[in-house]
Amino acid sequence: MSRCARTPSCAVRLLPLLVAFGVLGRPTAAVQFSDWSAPQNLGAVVNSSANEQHAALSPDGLSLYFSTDRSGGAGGFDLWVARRANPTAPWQSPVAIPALNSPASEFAPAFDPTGHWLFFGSERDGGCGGRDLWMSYRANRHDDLAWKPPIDLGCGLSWPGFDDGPTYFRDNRGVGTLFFISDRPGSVGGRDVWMATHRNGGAFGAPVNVAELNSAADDSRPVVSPDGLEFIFTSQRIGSIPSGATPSSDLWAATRSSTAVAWSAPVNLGSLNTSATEAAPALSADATTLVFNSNRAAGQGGLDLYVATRTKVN
Amino acid sequence: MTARMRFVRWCAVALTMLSAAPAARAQEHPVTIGAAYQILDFDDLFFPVGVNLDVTAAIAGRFAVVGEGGWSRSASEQFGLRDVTTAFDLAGGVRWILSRRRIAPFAQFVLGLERERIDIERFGADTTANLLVQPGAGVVVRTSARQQLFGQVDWRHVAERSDATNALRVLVGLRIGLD
Repeated sequence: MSRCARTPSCAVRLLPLLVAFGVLGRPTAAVQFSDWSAPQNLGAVVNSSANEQHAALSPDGLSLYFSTDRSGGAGGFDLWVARRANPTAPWQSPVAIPALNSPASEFAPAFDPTGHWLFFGSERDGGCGGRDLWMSYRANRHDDLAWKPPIDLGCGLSWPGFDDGPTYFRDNRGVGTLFFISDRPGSVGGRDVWMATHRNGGAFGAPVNVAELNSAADDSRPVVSPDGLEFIFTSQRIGSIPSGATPSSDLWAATRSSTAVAWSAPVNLGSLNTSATEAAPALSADATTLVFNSNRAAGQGGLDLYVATRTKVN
Repeated sequence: MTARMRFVRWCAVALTMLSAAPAARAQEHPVTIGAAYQILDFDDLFFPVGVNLDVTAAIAGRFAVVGEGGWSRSASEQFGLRDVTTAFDLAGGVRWILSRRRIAPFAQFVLGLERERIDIERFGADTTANLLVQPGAGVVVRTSARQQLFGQVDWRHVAERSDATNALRVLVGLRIGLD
């Protein structure tokens, strides 16, 4: 049930109070964190000799979703989930999520803050062409196999080319923002970060290029923190750790002091990156755990999932 | 023990102690039936429309057993999709009538089941059923020998596996006494 959840109506009804007490309209104090710990491979229970990539942590921290091309799925890359009994318990063996998968590929799952909704990219039939944005719903946010058949987010958001890597947050005014990756016309270069907003449960508006986050290289697979003040994404822009003569795929981050202002210039998350691929970050609900994929040496094979943590310092 | 559990246990203990108190005045009618308009305000879902029906039967002293059934409806949009949530509840418990004066307070405690149906455009419907615990209190205004207007406020706790949600329920209605 967890009605919290399912609608932004509470925030809307509390709007007069929030205004009266000055909660709205002033910059949100950003939480300060320690540096990220050294990344750890999630191990052979989660990772395999196939590719594991594009992780998402459920809001309760008990489910780890990811995209993998291991055998046992419906075809291509599929969405799988590993569960754990509590936030400090080890992950259990992952299982495929039949309700979300198709003979085509599925990528980049991302929860809404309630855990009832899941966004992802898929190349299945029925979208606008190419890779498109899809979403699904479950009434019971603790049941990882109870997703409804997905629906596409429509050609207002997706276009016939590449759309993927969704990440969503909603502020205390009931305004939701879906960031995603697209190579549509209007991009700064290659794949760019785009965003679309909606208010109070309405449909998403037209996508807008988030120019301050983009570069002439590919910028992709982002995650936005639950407070909307931190944005971590994948980029091969100049400044990434070189792999031979070209920049490798690295994790970059941008911040902002409130959701009403532009993002800062992205910075390379140096300690997390290597000359191998680091990509597709996922944050826990408290933003202290980061899961990403990498093909750095000493993994299980292909892309593996790695985890790094940090602590709040204020 | 959580604050919620302590509160529920406190309510149960209080009712047990009250039921042992000397009987002073009985409910004036052996049976009452009531109908009310209700609103439910959960943590983040508001049901602006609802009705509740209740039946009481007098037992010892100031106490009556109460059974009630309610229906509430909430409509909204999520991601541009129409969402209609309907909640049904059936509950039973004890009502404590504090006085036979024209304006008299009462308190009640009921346990029951809430069944919720969530119907989202393009996704179809899902139902869930969960236990509810609902202490509350109100005031009756006796407008004639058989009729009472009443207002009531309840705190509804709905348990769902590791989740739980709470609601404030407000009712305004009419009760009729039957002999």
